[in-house]
Amino acid sequence: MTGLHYQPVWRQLPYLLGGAAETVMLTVMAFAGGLALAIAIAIARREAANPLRKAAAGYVIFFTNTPQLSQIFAIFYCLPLLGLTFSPFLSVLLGMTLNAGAYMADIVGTEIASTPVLYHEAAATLGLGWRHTYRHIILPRALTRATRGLENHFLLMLLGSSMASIFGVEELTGRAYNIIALTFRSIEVISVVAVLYVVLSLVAAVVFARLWRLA
Amino acid sequence: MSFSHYDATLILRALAMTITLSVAGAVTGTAIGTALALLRFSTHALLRPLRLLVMLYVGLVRRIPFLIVLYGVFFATGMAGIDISPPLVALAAISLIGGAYISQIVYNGLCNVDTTQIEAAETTNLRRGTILRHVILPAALPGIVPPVLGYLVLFVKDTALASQIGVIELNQAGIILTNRGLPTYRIFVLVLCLYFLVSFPLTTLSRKMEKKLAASAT
Amino acid sequence: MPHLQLEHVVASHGGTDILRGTSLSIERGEIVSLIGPSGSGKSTTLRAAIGLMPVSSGRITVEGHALDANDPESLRRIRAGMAMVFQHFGLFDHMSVLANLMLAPVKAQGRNRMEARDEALSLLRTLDLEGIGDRRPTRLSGGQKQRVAIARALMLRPRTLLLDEPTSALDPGRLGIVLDLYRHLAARGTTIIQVSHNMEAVAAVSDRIVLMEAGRVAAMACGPHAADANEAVTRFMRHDVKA
Repeated sequence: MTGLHYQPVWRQLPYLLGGAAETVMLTVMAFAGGLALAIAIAIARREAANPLRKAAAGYVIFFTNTPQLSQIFAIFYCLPLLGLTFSPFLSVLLGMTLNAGAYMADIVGTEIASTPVLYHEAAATLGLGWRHTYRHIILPRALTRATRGLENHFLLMLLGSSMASIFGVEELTGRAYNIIALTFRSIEVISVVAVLYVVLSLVAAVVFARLWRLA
Repeated sequence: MSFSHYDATLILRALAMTITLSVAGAVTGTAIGTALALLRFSTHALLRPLRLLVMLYVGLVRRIPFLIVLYGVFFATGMAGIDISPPLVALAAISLIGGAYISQIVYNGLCNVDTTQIEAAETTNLRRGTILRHVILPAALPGIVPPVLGYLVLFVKDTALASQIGVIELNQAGIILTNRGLPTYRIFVLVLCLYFLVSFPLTTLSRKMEKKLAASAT
Repeated sequence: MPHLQLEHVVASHGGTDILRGTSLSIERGEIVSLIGPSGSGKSTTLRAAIGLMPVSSGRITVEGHALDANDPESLRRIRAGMAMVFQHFGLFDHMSVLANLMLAPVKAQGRNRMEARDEALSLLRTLDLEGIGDRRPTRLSGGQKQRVAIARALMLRPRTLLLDEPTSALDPGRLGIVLDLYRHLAARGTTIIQVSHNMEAVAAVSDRIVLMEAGRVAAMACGPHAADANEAVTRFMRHDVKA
């Protein structure tokens, strides 16, 4: 063993940064899709008639109690059986979105449940139907109150997206693995990538703080 | 091809590995996390540099993917010529990450204890260690245990990543069986169900405790 | 035909009867004040009249239509002509004052945005709230919130206005403005029912004062000097003013 050599890693930094961009894209897309799904599920869990309501509740329980990795494997292996062939990126995106939808349905659902009775009553006497009541009163309030939980989950997703590498997606971790295979500088690569993840997550925290101030 | 006796043994062993990793990780993670939280909560001037180190550790490790920590430990032990088995590498990585997350939860719990209680204890001339053990910890525990349990549930699922360094846990067993040509969807339904059976009781327990605490708080 | 009628209404909450056979008949354009000790069923009467409180027996009719709290279509039809000001206002804290005012007219009544905005601004001016349209309700004083809540109800152009303690947070100057507004609305045909502990306000605007006790109407006083027209009502009002 002859000490650490970072030179080969620096040369690959642009390549790694490209991977970081891929990581961010994957996370942001899965987060956005997951949030939309979460809102639909949270509403279905409260308002829908019984078969749909139970399905929504079962969905959340199932996806929050099994590993995302196995969920993506199941998607990865099972979609072809249905005659669907997705790229690795799309398969992982689908898996992350479905998983995030379940977790965020819990986060958003808690806040929806905390809507004051008086808000429901005021909306009713104002003649607002349930769609308008959700769209203009319950959801905006719930989402602003859920910001902390949603931000936390975004950070977990950012880190969790590294498992996309297992399916051949060349995001940050995937590219790290490629460089290791090329240079054998495993410790150097891993440490640089770890720092890049720390930077990404700090940047995300700053961006979120800005967003909340705007909202 | 059908499910053989050998396949069943593989799945059961893998399940045992998942549970072992989860339990062992929970124990070491909780131990490390509690120790770090107590260190960070201490007020002794000489421990200041250590406190800063703990804060740095907790702040950084929680921003690095589990998979990267796992690879890091794997390569570092390999490079240093330490010969340890993949399950131990996974356990080390779990303890590193779990320690950081749990220490944050415990620290938050300690900070949330009503300061008047601590001040009341201080006026009685009790030593800091005694106050910690008999006043602060018991008061903080109800706020710590449910989130720690909630976190350990997340952990059961993270052990699936140990498959990447060659640990044959549930997820890896699923892949092995799939590669051997067994019907994919059945294998993964089974794997997901087994995870569910381990994780769901823990989730339920954590929720129940949280509800109980919320009820007793009002 | 009375504008709003309650006949032997019984309503319960959590196993105890709150309304025990309340009967009341109110004409169009009347200002009626419900007074009485707390727990006598004043607020519940209002809530039952707008379908927030299901009725276990008896009958409520508004403008000739029977109210059925379990029938969405009946509720929708009856609420379309009603508005309510809640004791704790029920303003939506995540929206600006103006958004609170415009939401229902635009979304539920399908009115034109600009027109609703003009009406909202003019109502705010009438209620001495000029310039607060862009603020969030959390940044307002109690008196301002109360007037915003009144403005929001009036935006619906209700034929029936239900008010639960609608003057509790107002200073004397603003109280005068609000009471003048009630008189003006009633003169143009709006029926107003208020629950109030402010006996000065009750005496100043009421065409009729209804004293409730234990879920029933105990006494009633009518006429231009309603506050003095019935002994029981007078007694209760003197007492309450002192308390």
